[in-house]
Amino acid sequence: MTAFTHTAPVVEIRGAVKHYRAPEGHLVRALDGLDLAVGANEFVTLLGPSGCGKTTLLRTISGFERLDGGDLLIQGQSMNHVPPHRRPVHTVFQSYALFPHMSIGDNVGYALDVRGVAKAEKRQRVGQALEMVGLAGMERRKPGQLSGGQQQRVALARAIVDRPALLLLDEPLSALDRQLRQAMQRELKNLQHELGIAFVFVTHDQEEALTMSDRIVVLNGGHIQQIGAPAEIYHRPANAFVAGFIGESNLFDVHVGSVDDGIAYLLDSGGDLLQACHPDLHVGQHAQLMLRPEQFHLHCPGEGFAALEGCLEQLLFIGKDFELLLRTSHGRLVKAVLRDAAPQRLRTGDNVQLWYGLQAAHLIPGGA
Amino acid sequence: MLIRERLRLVGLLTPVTLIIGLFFLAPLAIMAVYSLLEPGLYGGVEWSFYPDNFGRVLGWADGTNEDFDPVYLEIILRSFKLAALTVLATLALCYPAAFWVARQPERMRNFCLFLITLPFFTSLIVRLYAWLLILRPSGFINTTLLALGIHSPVELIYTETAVLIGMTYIFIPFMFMPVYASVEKLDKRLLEASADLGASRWQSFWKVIFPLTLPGIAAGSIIVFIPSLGNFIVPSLLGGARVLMIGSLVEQQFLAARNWPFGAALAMLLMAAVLVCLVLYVLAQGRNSAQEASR
Repeated sequence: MTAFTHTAPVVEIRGAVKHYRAPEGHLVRALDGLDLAVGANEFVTLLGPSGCGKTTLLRTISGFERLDGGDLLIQGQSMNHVPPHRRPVHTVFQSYALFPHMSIGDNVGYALDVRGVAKAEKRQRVGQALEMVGLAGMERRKPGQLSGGQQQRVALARAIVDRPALLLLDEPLSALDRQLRQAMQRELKNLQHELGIAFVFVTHDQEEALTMSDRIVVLNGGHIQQIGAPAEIYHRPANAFVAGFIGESNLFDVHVGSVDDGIAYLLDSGGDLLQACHPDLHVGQHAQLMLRPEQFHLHCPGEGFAALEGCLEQLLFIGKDFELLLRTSHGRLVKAVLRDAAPQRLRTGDNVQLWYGLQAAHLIPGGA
Repeated sequence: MLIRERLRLVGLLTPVTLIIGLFFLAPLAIMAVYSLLEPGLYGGVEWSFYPDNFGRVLGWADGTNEDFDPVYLEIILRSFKLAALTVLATLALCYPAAFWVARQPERMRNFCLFLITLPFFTSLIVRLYAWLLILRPSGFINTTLLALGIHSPVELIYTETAVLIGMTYIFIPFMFMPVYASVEKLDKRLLEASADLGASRWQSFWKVIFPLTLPGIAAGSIIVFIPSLGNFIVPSLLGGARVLMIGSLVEQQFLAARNWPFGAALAMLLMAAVLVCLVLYVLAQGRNSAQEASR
């Protein structure tokens, strides 16, 4: 029984449907029959372009949006008719939403205050929460006296002070500058580990999602495109949308020309020839082949590699890496990012071979 | 550059300084002096020191020249009471309305604000006479009530209630504007944060909404309280002789009784009372912000 409760999901969403009325009058589906379960102690990121439904999903869990269909369970209890203030869930808002008329201590202690926690205990727990986010002793300041990064930490402390079952984070780092954002990413991850509560994190920043998450939920058009660990999402995208949205990629629409000894020979719609290892393909099947720019090598590293050949159209030094744009003889542009110093000797117009591993070449079945 | 800027400042500020100096501060000084002079037999003043103008109200008039009469303090107290009630009544009407208006789409909001200022387009006297017609024994309210079956008309006109209704009516826009400004500024995301952290609607109101709209409430209260304290039009039209208020009393002393020094003394007392209220308010504000700064 204990093992079961340990693995039981904190949040379970079944067939969630949410409509919006667009300004033009027709109905838009923000969530279109969506299923998701978040385990206790899990860091799940909802990732997608704006309008993909990630914020709607978050607001559904916090209770600010009502589902038009489907069920939402938190800790096994249906939340369909529970108002936001009765849900064991707190949110870190994008705008922080700190109460400007209250001190930092009162802000952080708000959740305890409204539950009538005694003053001494409140003071102690506020102190602990502030210490966790690195703001010990700041109780008496006002939000207006703090920097953006500090306000962010206060918002965080306020949301974890009474240890909710689940913490929702709505693009909390988007207003911070790059350096601070990266530092906060690491801190958030550590904090989640320390607290042992589930985090559902919303972002449109794929790097952020890859860095922090245990699992990423890629959303588009109210549908889940893929759920998986960051490495899985990155290396084995389920479809063209995920491949295009996360990281840079070269996508080739191909059909299988022949299969020989586990190696598929693929013909691109433009006419280029490509290869990939794939156990079960049959001749004539359509698919998409994804090659990440950093998968390429200038020289053949050995067995199990194939090359794309073309004319070097552009060579850019982008700080520690070189970016190459290659145009194949069939006119297709291929992007490669190379680490070694060799590209420096290359000139635009040179004939270049880009080698890629057949094992790493990822085939997405279906496609155009 | 600096000199030019100063010259420009002088040019911009001189007219208003002159007007306020000539037509406000100078008469005020004259009033202050008059309040300490002996009233002349046929109006005007005799140039000798005469503390009994204040003594008639505050108690040191011993009967040789003037009599102390507690009725004046009663009148001042009644004025304070009615002004405070006017503040409460306008606030009770405007606060919920401000929330409703703030929730409307922008065009509707602007239309509502226009409606609030609409009464200013008609003369105050005309509007108060309309209330006279509504409140008098043969007026709209009483004919309606009589038709509904009451036996004798309700006494409305020439009561404190009538004065309160009239003052509330004319001061509603003065309360609405500052209250609305603070309500409209309220960040809805703060209310979501409050609910998210477990606060009920009632808790959210007292812990977030009310403190954040308090500056608007305070500003509106001052703007309504001070002019309603000295108001004499509403009491004389709707209160009649029975509901004498300090404003009407001052007016009587100057115009009917021709006792300028006593009128001036009453006006000075009124002004002193208002100043004391304002100073207390400012001190309270200052203590709050000092507390904030020391935290």
